Amino acid sequence: MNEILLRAENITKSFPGVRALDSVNFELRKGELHCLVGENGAGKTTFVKVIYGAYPDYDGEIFLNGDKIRITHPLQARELGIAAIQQHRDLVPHLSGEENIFLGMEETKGIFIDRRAQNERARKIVDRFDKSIGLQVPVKYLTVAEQEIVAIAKALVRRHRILILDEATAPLDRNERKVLFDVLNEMKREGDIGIIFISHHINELFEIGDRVTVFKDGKLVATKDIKEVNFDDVVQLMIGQKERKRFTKKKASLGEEILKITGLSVPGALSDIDVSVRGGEIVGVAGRLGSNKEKIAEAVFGLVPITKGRVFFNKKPLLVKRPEGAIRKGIGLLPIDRREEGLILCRSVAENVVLAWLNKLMKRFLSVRLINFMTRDYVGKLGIKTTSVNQRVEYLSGGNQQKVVMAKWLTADADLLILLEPTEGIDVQTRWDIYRILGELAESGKGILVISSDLEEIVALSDRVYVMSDGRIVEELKGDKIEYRHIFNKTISDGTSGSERRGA
Amino acid sequence: MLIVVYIALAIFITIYTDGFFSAFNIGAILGLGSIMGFLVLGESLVMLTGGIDLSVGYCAAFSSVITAWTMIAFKDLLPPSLIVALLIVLGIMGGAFIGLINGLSVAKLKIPPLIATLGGYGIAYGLAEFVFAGIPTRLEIESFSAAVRVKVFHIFPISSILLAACAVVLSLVLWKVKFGRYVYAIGGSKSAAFLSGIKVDSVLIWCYVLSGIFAAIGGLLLAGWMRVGDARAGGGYEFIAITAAVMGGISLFGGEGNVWDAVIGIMTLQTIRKIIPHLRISTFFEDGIVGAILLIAVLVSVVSVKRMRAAA
Repeated sequence: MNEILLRAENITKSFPGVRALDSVNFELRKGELHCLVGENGAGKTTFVKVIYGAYPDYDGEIFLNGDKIRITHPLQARELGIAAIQQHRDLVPHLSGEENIFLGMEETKGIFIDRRAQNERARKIVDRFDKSIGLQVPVKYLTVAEQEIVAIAKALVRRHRILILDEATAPLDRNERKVLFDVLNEMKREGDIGIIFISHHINELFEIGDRVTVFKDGKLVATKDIKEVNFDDVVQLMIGQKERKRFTKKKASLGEEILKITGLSVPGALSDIDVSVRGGEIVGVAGRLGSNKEKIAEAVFGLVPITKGRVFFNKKPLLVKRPEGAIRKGIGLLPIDRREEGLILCRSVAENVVLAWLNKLMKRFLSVRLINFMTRDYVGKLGIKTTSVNQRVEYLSGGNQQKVVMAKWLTADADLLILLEPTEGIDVQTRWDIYRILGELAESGKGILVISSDLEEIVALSDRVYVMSDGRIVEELKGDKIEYRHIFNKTISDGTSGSERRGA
Repeated sequence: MLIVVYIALAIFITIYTDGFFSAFNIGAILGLGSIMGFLVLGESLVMLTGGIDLSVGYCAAFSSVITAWTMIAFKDLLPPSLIVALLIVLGIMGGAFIGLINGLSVAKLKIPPLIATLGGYGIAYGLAEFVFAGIPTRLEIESFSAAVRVKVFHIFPISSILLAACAVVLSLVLWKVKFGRYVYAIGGSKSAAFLSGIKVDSVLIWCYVLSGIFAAIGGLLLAGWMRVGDARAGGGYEFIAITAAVMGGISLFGGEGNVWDAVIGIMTLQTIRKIIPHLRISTFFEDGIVGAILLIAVLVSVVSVKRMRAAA
């Protein structure tokens, strides 16, 4: 039981400007379910990605059953018996469960596939978990939980000995979780399998975990026996000694209400959301992954259907069906995926900066000189580090790319900026640069809505905070009430989010 | 589904026209239909992987020219039966060569199939034109044409029986042999196929090679059917083959559909093309009608995919 299956020593992984993992030492024993917890960006997902081969350029050493190995590729990791269970990547949707389980290692009789033998073997494995799963229908017709079980069966047939489940319970409802936990318990009984389990539902680890490892800021904080700790201990380890680092901006006098959302509901995502933003104000929306906080922005931009509730912009009802409507009225969006959605990577800084402004410029031919002049102005003001305004955006660092997106909305003269995870993956220095710019924008009378999972950011920036969990606003905080620990506890959902969301 | 459409079409035609379904017309539909059916088999195979093959038409033309050329080149050297054996081998090799270029471009050079096979299209057309400077050339061996034009029971051309046999074998391979399942797996999810240890590249290359070979068989039969080797004979056939495959329910996104329905697709399409003059519609509209059918078929398949996603 205490035999060590996998040992990782001094694992370090850096991204440009960020050290995502810092000398992590980790052990996985045979027959254990080892939970990894930590805040968003703490490094747990980066760590398992190193283990299953997605980041071949890591530093440090990994030992499997005592032998030193170098993991360079997901396929190679699988050949070594290490597999991440990701049903959407593992399964071919049009093929049946049986076919998926045996894909690439079919049983054959002569040149033909022996469907009967395959089906028998597949059935035997899957029946241990759930007898009701149909193995002859395309897996796309199965529920997510059933697909996960098929993916686990696929790993078992391949005799994978280390299974990694990253947020595997997130899309499941309460009953489906129970089924998955039974499956995992059943697998632990086999003895020589080790499971790495990531979840943001901390209470789940007390249900099925054997040990828990806590990550924080890219470092491994502690590994504990589940029996030795309680819920509060884990939370304490996760957030550590956090003092409130507050970004100080001049107290701007609050202006008119720019954005007002009342009773907003989106099927399956949001229920009864009330949010308002006034000029000169930075409003934060805090929530974990899966709290659907980003849907607020999507609803304002007409990307998701609104069934109930109204959105007012500058006191007038906002009825938009497409993003361009919102942009024309003066709302700017900094999307989560700035590389895909916020920027045109293969074009220059200048072209990106004026992109949302072109409508107003359309009267005559474009003046390259004017565009470059304006861009230089913003490059200076925002401190964008680029060799020239003609530099392609893809060569800029993440933080500077984000500044380009901000400049884009500044040229468009947006009254309201909505930012999704504005500093994700951005180094600390640039992060504070961006906070400073946001502060200045607020001082100049613009409204800022920051939607973020990074609670430090929320605490540092916001004049007012809405805390979200499972598609609802659970609390509104102001001034000194904006406190890290308090928001953290409020954002932790109780593990029933899936079922609630489905019921909604 | 498509078979129902076809029966409805047939009833409509029988009522509306006078004796359209004569043995002669059926033979004509089956004749050219089954020749194009070979192109459809190859096209379907490639589309099942999520790709597309634009070169099938000129691949067929290339092999039809090889047919005429072989007959002339070996006229005094070999007995006719050996020449026919040789031209079959050479024609198929020609198709396989174009398919190999396509396959390598797609699998190894990672060129999008649309562009890669457009390259194959150009190469095949260029080679076919080169042989006789683009001039259609009569086949020297009459008996080859005669054999291709034989109709079993006075109604089923040889090519239709060959097509049926090939379709049986291909569908058996697709359903029961590893290779076939890998084709579906790659079309359904390349990443899942790759992570399951399937050699995605080599399966892809084989699919394009097989598509080239099927097109070449179509070209050999086409030469016999028309009694000429013509570099322009296959022009536009890729368009018909893709339309037929989509009509038959081969998904544009790969991974779904079966070759039998695609064969029914080409027969339906061929019937429609044949009926056009009988309906007193100018034959110049023919391509336009096929184009409209392609768009409708794509629309139907995309809408059904969307509906399924929404339901899931």
